[in-house]
Amino acid sequence: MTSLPMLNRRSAGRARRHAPGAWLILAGLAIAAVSLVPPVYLVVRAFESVDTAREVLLARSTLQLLVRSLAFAATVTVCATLIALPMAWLVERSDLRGRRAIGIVGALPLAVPSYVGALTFISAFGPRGLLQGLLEPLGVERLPSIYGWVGATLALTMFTYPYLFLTLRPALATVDPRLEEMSRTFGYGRWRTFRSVVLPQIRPALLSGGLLVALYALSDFGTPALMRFDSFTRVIFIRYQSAFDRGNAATLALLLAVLALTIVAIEVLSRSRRRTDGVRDSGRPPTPVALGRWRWPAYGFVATVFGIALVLPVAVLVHWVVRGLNAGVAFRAVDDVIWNSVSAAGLAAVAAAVVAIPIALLGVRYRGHWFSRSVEVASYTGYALPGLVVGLALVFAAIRLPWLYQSLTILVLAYVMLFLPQATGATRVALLRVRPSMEEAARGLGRRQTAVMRTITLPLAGRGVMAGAALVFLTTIKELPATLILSPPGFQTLATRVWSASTDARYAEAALPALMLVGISGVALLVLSYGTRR
Amino acid sequence: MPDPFRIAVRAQGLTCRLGDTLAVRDLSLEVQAGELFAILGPSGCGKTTSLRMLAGFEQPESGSLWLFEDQVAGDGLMVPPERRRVGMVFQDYALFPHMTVAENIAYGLPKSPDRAARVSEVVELTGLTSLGERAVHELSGGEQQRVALARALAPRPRLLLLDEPFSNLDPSLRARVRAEVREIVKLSGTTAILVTHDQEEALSIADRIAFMWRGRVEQVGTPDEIYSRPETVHAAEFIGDANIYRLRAERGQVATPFGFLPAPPEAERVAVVIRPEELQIMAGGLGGEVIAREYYGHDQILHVRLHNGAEVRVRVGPHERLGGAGPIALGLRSQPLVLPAVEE
Repeated sequence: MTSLPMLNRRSAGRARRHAPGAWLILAGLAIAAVSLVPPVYLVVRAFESVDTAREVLLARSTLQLLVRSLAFAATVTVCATLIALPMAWLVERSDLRGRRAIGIVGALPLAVPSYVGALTFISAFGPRGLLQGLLEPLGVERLPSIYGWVGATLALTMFTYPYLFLTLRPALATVDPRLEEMSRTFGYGRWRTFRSVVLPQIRPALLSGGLLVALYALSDFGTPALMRFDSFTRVIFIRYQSAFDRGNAATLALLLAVLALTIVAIEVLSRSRRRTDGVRDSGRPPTPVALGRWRWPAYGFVATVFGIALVLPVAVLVHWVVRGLNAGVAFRAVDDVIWNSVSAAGLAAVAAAVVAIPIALLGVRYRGHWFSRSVEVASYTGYALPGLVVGLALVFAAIRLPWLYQSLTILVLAYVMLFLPQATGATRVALLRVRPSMEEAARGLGRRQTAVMRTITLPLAGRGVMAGAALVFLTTIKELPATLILSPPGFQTLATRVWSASTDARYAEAALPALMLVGISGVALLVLSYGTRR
Repeated sequence: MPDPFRIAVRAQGLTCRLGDTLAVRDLSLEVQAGELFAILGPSGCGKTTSLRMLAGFEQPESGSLWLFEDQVAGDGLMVPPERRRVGMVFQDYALFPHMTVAENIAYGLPKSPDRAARVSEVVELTGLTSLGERAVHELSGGEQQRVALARALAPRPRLLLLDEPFSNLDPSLRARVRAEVREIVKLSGTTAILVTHDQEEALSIADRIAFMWRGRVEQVGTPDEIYSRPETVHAAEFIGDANIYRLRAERGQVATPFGFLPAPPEAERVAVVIRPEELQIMAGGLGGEVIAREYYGHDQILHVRLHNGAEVRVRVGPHERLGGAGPIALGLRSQPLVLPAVEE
């Protein structure tokens, strides 16, 4: 057994105070090494020619790009807050009828992949779109353009505000109502109380949800690309496609990676400093605020958001499916695309579930050991990076390896890197249910280690491992940028099919696969919300 | 039938290291077949690690270990837990949540025609009849504990190990469950070793007790020997209540609040141990003042400051000196123990 010093023996738990066994160390090292390939290759490739790198980094256009992207992310975050905070307050603190249903429906826009949402907005509001078609008889010849900043902001806000909504709700629900009552007895009004008592307490949730939205806005590829908004991801993709500029693309991707990791680091730091006092212990739910006549504007607000973020996308897609059916193009080449999607995502799910086992074992059985933590942090790298960045980095890494370059293997590898932590999380929860003493009891009863694994550990943890795999499957199937970059030639998935059809405005062809993706994401959302409960 | 003259466990100089700490040092023990043996000590004294070495979950750094005639550890040998025929009852019971009571109990039994018969035999022994098809989480704490015991006993282990088996039980249940467990273990005829930090538990249930302190066994003896003739200050302090005076001895004598006593010849620092019940109210005894009183119902403890300055606690009957404070005179029922004091 290898002896590694314990960083924090106290937290290591009673039963396993030893260092991890040899196979776990080997597996952990391999996972960490592979996880670090994308950042390392980005650095290598970006600084292949230091002069060019410096030129790109110091270019005026790069600065503009940086400012534009950050301003964009900030705008989306502010807009998402303006939707999520009132909606969360209505659900948790008001007497609005149907607030339970609003709480559930409010999270559903997450089921619309943002590029699918963007495509429906374009086909509805764009030039010669559905809205203009409706208005033409009235003499409207041109609508204000949906493309660019406005469209990208609208689409991303509508499909990312649920991240904030979901973090704000529990925060609002656990603010101790006695604190508010105290403030009211001092003579402060409702608004003043909200600002001085409630807001400071939900600030951590606001920060972490907001950072999540900002990270998404910065990393998303499909929406800015379809909306022709020059964000980081779109610029990088265009430079990458124009084969001469690949070095530039790497430098910009590195810059984006640094931005993304910075946001994640801020989020993690802010979470670790979050105070745990002020947690409600009165056990009494706050008295709902009576809205009175204000309930009508409240309903109006909720209906508008749901109309734009849910009803419109689904209605547009259904409309195009029907038109596609009439024109006979709806099912064009959908069959093999489905098979491609299912097989790539299935392989990724199985691979991620297998790779997650050693990480989860290290995290659960050797909690607090520096080695466990390092492996885990490394395995998060891909999850924190934009899919486009991971895809590019793997292209650079594999370009001289023809057997790997543009193979299904590297695509699956990218998927595993991007979504591994989803599998790790589920597996860890499952393994926590198997206490070490259960395995020891089984061995004491005369069963070998392999038999114990088969009769105790796997039956108890198996369901969690499967749930992790399912989650990876469902997330992988809608992944766009890495799939675009790494797919073998001619290999199309549901996501790339939606992409290629909608970039050519062949909406009737895009609609059916897009609708399928919405359905699949909806299932993913259910799995996720079921899995995180308890 | 177990042969009472056979040695079930023989440990010689077992040492075990956990991380950087030496958890168990030089553990030597002999446990007779059929005996119910307790390892008693404060938390962190190495008692659970000792138990885990016996079970095969920890590997000793040095020393050797025999279970009956088989060597299972030491001299380069390390028999894995599944080949030791040792049953273990864990503190958290470690029942398998995906199995019923009967499936849990049958887990350690080989697939054979006698399997079901053995399960029902053990179910009967442990009083679990009619609970066989229940899911484990539907049971009460006491029932779960009996399932854990039944599961461990089912494969007829040569040795049964119990790790703090009563600590997860409601205090009001403990005394009854303790008696039940002792009866079940004795009926099964299995040699058993119990680890506990609860002196009352060890004294009431065990045939013999090993007292551990900081990784070492300091004393082995019957409950009566351990309580009334502790060999170290730690044992005297940990087990039961005691007035302890750390004093300097001179020429084989030590001056105590109760007069001169003989001290071990070479000892310079000694500890004089007087149990509160070894003192009594006695006319013409040593004079003092009662300064406080703890009333327990079945008896009470008086805190007394003697005229010579020493403070002492005295256990008296529930009806004595109900007035509390005031003058008192005390005498000894028996000669106090004088033990060599160890430097901490």
